[in-house]
Amino acid sequence: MQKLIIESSKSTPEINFDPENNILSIKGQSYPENAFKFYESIFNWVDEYIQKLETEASVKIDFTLPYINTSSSKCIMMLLEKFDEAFLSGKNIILYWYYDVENESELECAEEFTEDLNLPFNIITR
Amino acid sequence: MGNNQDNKLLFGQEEKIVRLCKAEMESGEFEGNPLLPKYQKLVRNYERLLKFTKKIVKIADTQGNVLKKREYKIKSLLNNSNQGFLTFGNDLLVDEEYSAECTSIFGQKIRKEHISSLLSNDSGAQQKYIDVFKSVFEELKEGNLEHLPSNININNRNIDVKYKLINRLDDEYAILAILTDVTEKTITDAQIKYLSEHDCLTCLYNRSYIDKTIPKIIAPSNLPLSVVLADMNALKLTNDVFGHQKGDQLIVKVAQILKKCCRETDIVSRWGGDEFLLLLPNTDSYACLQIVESINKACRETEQEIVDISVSMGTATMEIPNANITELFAVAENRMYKNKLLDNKTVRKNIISKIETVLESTGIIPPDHIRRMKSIVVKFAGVLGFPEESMETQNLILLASLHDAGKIAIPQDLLKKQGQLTSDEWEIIKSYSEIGYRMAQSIGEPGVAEAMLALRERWDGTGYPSGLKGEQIPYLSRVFSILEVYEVITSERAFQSALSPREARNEIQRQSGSQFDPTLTQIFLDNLDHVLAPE
Repeated sequence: MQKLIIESSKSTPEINFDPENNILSIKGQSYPENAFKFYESIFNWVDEYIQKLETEASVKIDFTLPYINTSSSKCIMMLLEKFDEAFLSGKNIILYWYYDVENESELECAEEFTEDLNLPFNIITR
Repeated sequence: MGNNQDNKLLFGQEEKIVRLCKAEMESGEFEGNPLLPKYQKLVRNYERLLKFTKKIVKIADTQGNVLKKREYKIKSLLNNSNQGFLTFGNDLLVDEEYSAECTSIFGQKIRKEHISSLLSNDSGAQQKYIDVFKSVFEELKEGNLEHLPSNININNRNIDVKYKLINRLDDEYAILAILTDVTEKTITDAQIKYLSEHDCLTCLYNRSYIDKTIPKIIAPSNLPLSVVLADMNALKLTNDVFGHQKGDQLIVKVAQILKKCCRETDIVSRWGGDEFLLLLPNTDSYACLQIVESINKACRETEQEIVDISVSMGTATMEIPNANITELFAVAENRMYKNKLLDNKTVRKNIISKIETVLESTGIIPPDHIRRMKSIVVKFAGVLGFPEESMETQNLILLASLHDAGKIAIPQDLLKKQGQLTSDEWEIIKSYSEIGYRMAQSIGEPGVAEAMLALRERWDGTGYPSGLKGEQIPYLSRVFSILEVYEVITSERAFQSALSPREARNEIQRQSGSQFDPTLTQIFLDNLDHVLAPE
């Protein structure tokens, strides 16, 4: 499976999904004009990835999202649901959410995202 | 916690619907209804959507609050930076957001104002701004902004402007203008520059300015270049006797004279304490001497209370390019010192004559007192075996001229006060002998100075200022004090009648051995008729 790499822009995060090493990283601010359009390809890639993912593989997901707008929040939640479902189906997935200790909103948002999820969700300072 | 509570209230109605729907589905009431599976799916999705919505609202609020706080902080930072920050896009209209200082600089709100009309009132200048800004947006070349003035006048304020081409959004560019009101700084800079180049007492250029100017002033276009080095006479005397305030006034007077006698193109500077340097471009030696003469004339014509204004000057002229300016100064300096030596005698004579005039005209001493003293001292010196041309006699003559000179510096009302003096007043009066001492020192008469200082010493050691006793008192002082007292008590004074020759004789005799040297007193009394005989 091909890597998914999207360079960051002013309003979109950098995407670096590496299926070979099973490290999926999203890093940067997210406030595109059309969030679904931006995340659509990511959803498709993740669906295929999870489908092909072997049970014994250990997946590390790194999220660093200092600011995300409302539409992006919805997309991130959809993404988290996909990973959570995969986890519940027996895939070995662990998520790291990095936040800036000086930005009080980042921790609050991270805590909000972690609600109702089952996969290991680690909130750590960056 | 608070937020969760808010969310419960906010989405209470939707949650209630979910609870009711779920209860209905679990009640079995609609078992077998063909619409039930679709209804169940709808309820599940509604519940999921509600969850999403609640989370998103919370996240959005949290982030929104933080963004608002940040916006406030950034605005505060900009509004309190005392700098104007504004941006405009290629429509050249100022954007909505700008710092508070902009309103202060332009004296108005500037939202959507055309940047060119804000920066200038002149249509030509406005067009230049438009052309440059347009070119920057078209070519995306920040360097084009360097063609614009960096310092402009807005509402009579001096504004420093810096421009930057900034990438505002992905493909959208703007020009950021940073405006700083440098009016006060410009004034302060000008003051600092003025103070660094001028002497604060006289407002003439100072030495540092001259050092900077020399490379320019020796340019061939300024030749012939003349220099005049002028040194004030009698400044030390004025400072020592009348205080530095009077001395400063004298310096200022000389500076005014020099300025008045020079032309606009000349550079008049205070070179040192009492030295002035004049740089006269396009001035040959003849024209230079004319200026020197006009300075001398102006000095002579300037009325002064005590010390006449005079300066000794030396000149030198550079006729050809590349001559050595240091040598030129050295020539002028040597000539100045030579002239100073020549002027010295005249200056000294003038000072003594002026002191005599002032003492008598102000009533500090009785009329003719100095003339009579001179006559007595010459005759008594003869009795003591000193010829008239001897140093002792000449010093006694000088003492006759200057012995009361210190009183010029004492407040007149104190000198003329009737009745008892307070101890402080008496201290001031007594200081006149020390002032006289400094005065005599200043005109190069150390022997006379010593004698003046000891004029109020007494043979028995009870005098002032040092309480000298007997022969510790300088000889000239012992001689002069007998003659002076005799002259004073036999003259009509403001508050006391003159004593008769017999009474005066008795008084002098009475003070022999206490106030006066007994030997000298005896010689004086023995030769009184000769000493007092008319010339």
